[in-house]
Amino acid sequence: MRPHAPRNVLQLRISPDWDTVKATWDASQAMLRESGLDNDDAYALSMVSQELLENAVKYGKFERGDAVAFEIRVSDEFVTIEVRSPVSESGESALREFDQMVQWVRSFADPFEAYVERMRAVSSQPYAAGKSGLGLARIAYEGRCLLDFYVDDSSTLAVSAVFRRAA
Amino acid sequence: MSALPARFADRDLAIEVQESGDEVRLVWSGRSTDREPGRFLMPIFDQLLERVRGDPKRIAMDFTKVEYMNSSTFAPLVKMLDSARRSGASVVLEYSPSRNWQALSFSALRTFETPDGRIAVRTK
Repeated sequence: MRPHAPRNVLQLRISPDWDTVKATWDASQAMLRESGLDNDDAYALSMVSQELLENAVKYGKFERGDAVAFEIRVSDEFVTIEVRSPVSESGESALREFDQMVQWVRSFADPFEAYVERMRAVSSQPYAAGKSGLGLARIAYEGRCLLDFYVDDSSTLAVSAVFRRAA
Repeated sequence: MSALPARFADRDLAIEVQESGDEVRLVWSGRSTDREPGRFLMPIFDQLLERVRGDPKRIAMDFTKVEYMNSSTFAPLVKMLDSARRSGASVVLEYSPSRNWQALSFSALRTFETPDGRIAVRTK
């Protein structure tokens, strides 16, 4: 079997509300464990799924009937988690900000340093709920995932986190 | 200095308050998954820091029973550590090294430890 060929796939379309995001935890955990990941990796990748879904719900531009597309693909070599959500066509500055944060996280050879830097940045500013970048840094550090994203012609933002499985 | 309530709770997260001679201990349990956890946590932290103002009591926060915290929960927590450092309060965060996510997340929080031990992050 080719190492990239998915052995197991979970695909969900979920309504963009907070309780539904929380409810995907069990499905993610179960699928990852059934796919042979150990408890720590299954937990970490469920956390990654939650962080990506939370971001999609917080910052997506949903019209009536829109949903968040959530997918986990497990192959022999990788686990890929992808979350797709609609974004505003006029949301270029938000996307630029997101791009900068993803590139910033990726610029660290050690994601631990990125996570600590984000924590320090958050601590030095007045508390405000919103974009801290902590979730993306946590995905790279605790989830040991490489982040990427693209926006397609229909203004859908697809964010992926790729985890390389131990040999 | 008024006493704190014995328990705070919000959805799946509970925080039990135990006061003894030399510390105010907050035992966290459950899951912190709120969209804006600071709405629940920041008022508690404000009360807590007010409670120990001018008092040598240490604040101990026990996270060993917490099953999950989203990243939004860490923002109010690190703000509280910053406020504690500025106000001279003593805070220790306790986590379980057997929970891998806690070992990872809380080791990052060690960046806020102070050389004099007033702010400390340790295993339990």
